[in-house]
Amino acid sequence: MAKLPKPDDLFNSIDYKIPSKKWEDVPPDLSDGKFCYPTKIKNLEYLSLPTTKGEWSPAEDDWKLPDNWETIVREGFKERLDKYRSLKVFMDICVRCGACADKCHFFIGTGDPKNMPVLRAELLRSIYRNDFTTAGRILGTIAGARKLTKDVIKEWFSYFYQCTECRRCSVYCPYGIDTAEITMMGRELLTLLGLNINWILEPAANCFRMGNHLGIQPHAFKDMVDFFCDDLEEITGVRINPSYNRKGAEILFITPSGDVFADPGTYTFMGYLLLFEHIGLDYTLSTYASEGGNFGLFTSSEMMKRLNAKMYAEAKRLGVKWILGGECGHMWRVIQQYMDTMNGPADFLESPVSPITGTKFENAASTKMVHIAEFTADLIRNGKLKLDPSRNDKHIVTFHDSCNPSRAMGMFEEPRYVLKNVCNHFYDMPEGTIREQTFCCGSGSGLNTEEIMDLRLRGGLPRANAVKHVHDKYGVNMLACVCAIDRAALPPLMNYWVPEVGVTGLHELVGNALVMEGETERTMNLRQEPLTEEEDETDE
Amino acid sequence: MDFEKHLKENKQNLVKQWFSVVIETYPRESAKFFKDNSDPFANPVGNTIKRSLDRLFDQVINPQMDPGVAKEALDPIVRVRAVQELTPARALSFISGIKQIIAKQISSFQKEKGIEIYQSAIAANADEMLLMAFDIYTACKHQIYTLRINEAKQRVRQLLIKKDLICELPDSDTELKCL
Repeated sequence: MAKLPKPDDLFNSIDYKIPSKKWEDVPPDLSDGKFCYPTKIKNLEYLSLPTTKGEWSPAEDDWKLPDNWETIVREGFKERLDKYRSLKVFMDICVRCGACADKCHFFIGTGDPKNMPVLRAELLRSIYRNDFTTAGRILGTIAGARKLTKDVIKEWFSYFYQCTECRRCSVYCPYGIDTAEITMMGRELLTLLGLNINWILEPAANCFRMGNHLGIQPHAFKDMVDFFCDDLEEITGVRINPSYNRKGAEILFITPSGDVFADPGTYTFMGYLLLFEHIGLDYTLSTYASEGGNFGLFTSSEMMKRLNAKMYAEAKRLGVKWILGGECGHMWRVIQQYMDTMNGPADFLESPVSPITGTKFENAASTKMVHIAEFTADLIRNGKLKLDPSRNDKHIVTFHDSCNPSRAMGMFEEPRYVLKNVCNHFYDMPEGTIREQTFCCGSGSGLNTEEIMDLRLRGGLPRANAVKHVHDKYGVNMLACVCAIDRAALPPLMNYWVPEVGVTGLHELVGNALVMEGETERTMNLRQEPLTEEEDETDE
Repeated sequence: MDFEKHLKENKQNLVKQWFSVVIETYPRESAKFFKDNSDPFANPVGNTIKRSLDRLFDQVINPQMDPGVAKEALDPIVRVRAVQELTPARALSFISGIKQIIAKQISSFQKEKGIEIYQSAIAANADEMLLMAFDIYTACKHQIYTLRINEAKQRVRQLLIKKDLICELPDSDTELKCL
């Protein structure tokens, strides 16, 4: 019989000490399960983006980079430094104060130093110093510079796809360095080499071709919304007949396609339909601009511009006055921060005015696009909605501020105001985890892909931890949000960390509470579940 | 027993040592953050580990360990480590660490009656905890794989149903429509 090692020997053989290597010398772990699957080349080709020399895998040694990859990266970097003053400032100005270091949910959850925003930026900054600064050229590593190698490219791929571009770190940076924009530049440079991930590029290509991420064809889009109307008739007794691609409608409504095909977003869509019917809104849906999301934001500024343009082109074609936008996250960052200088000003549209209350949405005067939470909050404030919040009584609700509507739009009060009017039980999570300091769901910016579920779960831990606190303290059992990626990402996150908590869109709860004219007595909510817990139990 | 009393009295210090064993499995920069930041919302990993170890310590030194309480205390720490980039052995190795920490305390109590029995009870508790942790770790991984599978399935399932491209069996009180 072979001699077995004693437990103590085994235990003592475990090396807890960190290798004393510098961060530059610690390669990223690119074994299977540690990276997002790379994009299929056909997606790059469809979008006229550069490609690698063949299909590749991060787990393999050869990434099939173009022969002149160094020149491509260097020239791409130079072009961006010339084009974006912000990038140049971000590269030069960091004093490594460390204020951002422990603010990233991926660092908090993983403990990987390269997930500290300062170090993530350093991945790019070290190359900047080497190639574009005199001190870096002369002093090399002493000045924090390093040479561009294939290993650097691999490191970029690993860590720029471990950033959800949530911008929490930028809230704490005394210089206002926006690490999300650094990640965006890193991803742009990688895309120049044909390196991108399938979960981003496939939706982007589908959106470019078919108008939405999944490639839902116009007739299927219509069929699915009609299907919601059938369900709504069963639940409320009221028949709704929305219009599609109707020229001359006052308002074009655009929401993420996730609300059309993925639960629980579908219930949010049903909430929108009830709301518009309730107030008699003159609106139309588009089967061409059938996507609010913009995965171009996660690819390149050029791609973001192309995908954003279709919404405005459709608004122009239909001759609407302005655009009402649904519950989406990054769509609002694109609209609020980039649209005006990409495709704006949208001066063929009118400055948005609520046809029901007469309120002018001054904040949207330039983009001509209003967030539905603002729109609904205004309706409630002006007493235009008949609501019965007791229909949501079985839900003890908290609110997750989605990164982009909160940090890119400053929208904090409107969703809470709506929630407090449509539910009787609402509790905020602790300070430091909400509003502008909100923790990301861990799956934004195209990382909501199943192959990196472990990473998503540890990145989402800080969010889930705060939800668990209000669950334990107040019995919270429902997490409301205003983002389609949240509605897809938060259910598995809750399932793992706080399984007693469900996930809902804001307008699902609005839809439950709305008292429709001519409705039958409501016994079910929009999920076709009994309205109260007691009925739930009787059912069982 | 004096030794048990000694362990109880020195709990804070011993749990701190145990915490260091866990924390040393992380890179140095992160270990400092996990160790020093006491805000449970800014530092959920460090604080979860602290809370779990505090409760586990009471159980490991108790000759009548309550497996239910031990399991409940283990779940949060194992749940965190199951999604971090650690091998299964490394993720759970901290449990054995308590044996060494306690062994170092025993020298002045060597002559106490029943000390060997008590020491082996502690070792048995730690071993049982390790087995329980193994169950929890495996269940966590199983849950993650299930979440992955469900996500892949759900991505298109609703679409297929709504387009009548697949036809599920109807509820028992409705008629078959699709055939």
